[in-house]
Amino acid sequence: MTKYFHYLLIYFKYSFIRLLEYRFDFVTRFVTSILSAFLGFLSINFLYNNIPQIVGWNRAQLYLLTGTYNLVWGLFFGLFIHNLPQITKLVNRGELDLVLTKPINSQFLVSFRNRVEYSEISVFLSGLFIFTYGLNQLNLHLSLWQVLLYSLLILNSVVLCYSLWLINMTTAFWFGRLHELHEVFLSVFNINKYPTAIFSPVLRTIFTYFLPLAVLVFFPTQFLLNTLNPLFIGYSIFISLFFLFLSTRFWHFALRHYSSASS
Amino acid sequence: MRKYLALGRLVLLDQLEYPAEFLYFLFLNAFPLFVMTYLWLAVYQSAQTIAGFDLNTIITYFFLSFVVGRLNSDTAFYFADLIREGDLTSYLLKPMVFIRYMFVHMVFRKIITFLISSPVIIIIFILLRNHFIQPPDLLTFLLFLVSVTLAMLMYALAGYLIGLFAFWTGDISGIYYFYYALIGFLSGSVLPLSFFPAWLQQIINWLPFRYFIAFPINIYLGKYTPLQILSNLAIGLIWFFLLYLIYRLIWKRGLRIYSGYGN
Repeated sequence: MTKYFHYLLIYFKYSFIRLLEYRFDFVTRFVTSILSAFLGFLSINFLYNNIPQIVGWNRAQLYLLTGTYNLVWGLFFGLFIHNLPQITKLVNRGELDLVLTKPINSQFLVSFRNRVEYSEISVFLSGLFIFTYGLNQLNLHLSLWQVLLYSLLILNSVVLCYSLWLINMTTAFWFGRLHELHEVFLSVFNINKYPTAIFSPVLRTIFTYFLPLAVLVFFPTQFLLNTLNPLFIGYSIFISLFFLFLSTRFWHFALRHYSSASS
Repeated sequence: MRKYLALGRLVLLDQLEYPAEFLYFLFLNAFPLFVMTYLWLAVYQSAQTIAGFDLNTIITYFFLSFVVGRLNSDTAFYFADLIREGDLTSYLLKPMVFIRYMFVHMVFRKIITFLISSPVIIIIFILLRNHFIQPPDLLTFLLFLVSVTLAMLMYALAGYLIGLFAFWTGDISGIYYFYYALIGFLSGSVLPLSFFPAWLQQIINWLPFRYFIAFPINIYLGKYTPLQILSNLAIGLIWFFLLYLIYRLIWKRGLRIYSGYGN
């Protein structure tokens, strides 16, 4: 276990050194992310300038949702964007051999080994800003345990995002030729920009139990607004651990079907 | 003329190589439209008309925005790669004016990909048919087609302009993503421009970006008088030539420092 923490630390350090080398790249990414978050924030405001509420959600409540969206996005995207999408390349070029022959868990290696995108901190910070603004507008004062539980739910969402994204990327063993395979999950993640309540009952059931996207952003926000059935807190944690297990099983299942490409 | 037709044939063969891959991308691109449709169905539960749009008008707006978006092509990276990797040299030696070659190539590519994507567009159309509204008359529809052509050419030209940065910076991804975030907002593809505050609409009216999405679709929806259409088209053409002049200027300066390494 300590070995893995040790390696994580090395990857984070290497990413930081790389950042210092490509400072201009870091700055443009940082600024662009803030611009994107700001434009998203403006769009919500322009929408709400014309209507009072959407399925019972007012402007300030949607700020909380948007804030949460950016917190989750900043974390999972920053951690994994340079790692998980690489799986396609590893499988196609047979470079996975190099991963499999190392005396370390292969899933761990493909999940972290490349680098972290630190500029995504700007998305996280934008999220924090929009989130705090929403709290102020709602005059909502969070207790310590609410903050702790909310943070736990956010981390839980990151775990679930990771699992879903890994499942998405593991299909590369069969659909290896599709470039930009990772865009599938990113595209599906879009659902979280608005309350899951906008969807039809059937879709809501799907997004809660079968493809649990509502767990990622909608439930944590509902938790803060005191509209989440407490059972769903436990459910959220259960389902993401379940998907983490599922993604690991799927990864191992796929490995058995891997035939090196190079020779 | 014949050499351009030969070019068209090459593009056709190129695009037909990976039809599955192409349809998969289309599915991804259609996903935001799916979320948007549900959002607007939810929004219009509590309102009849918002910012001059009723439910059917806005669903038609986003459907057409999806369709017109299929014709707008991301030329910037393609162009930048030619410069960065030195492949531009072989194009400069061809017996064609380079920018004309690029435009013809782009138009052929877009027509072919549009034809391949038509089954998906038709399926979406059938799903949304109850909400789809028709243009006021045939003349309006023809003017819509003219404005879509202008949108396609102008979008590509703006992309080449961004791509030109590669002469100086090599990598353009920072600038490109910044630009991309901005035009999504300013072209009216995130939200129809009439939702924006009046002062911002005034500013956007003086910028070229609304010609990419909002202008053609608003013609289709009958939001302009014929005279307004013609005067706006004229301004759009002036913008196009202005952008072209800027392109020529930067292109000439860029060629002076272009060294064509990589070959």
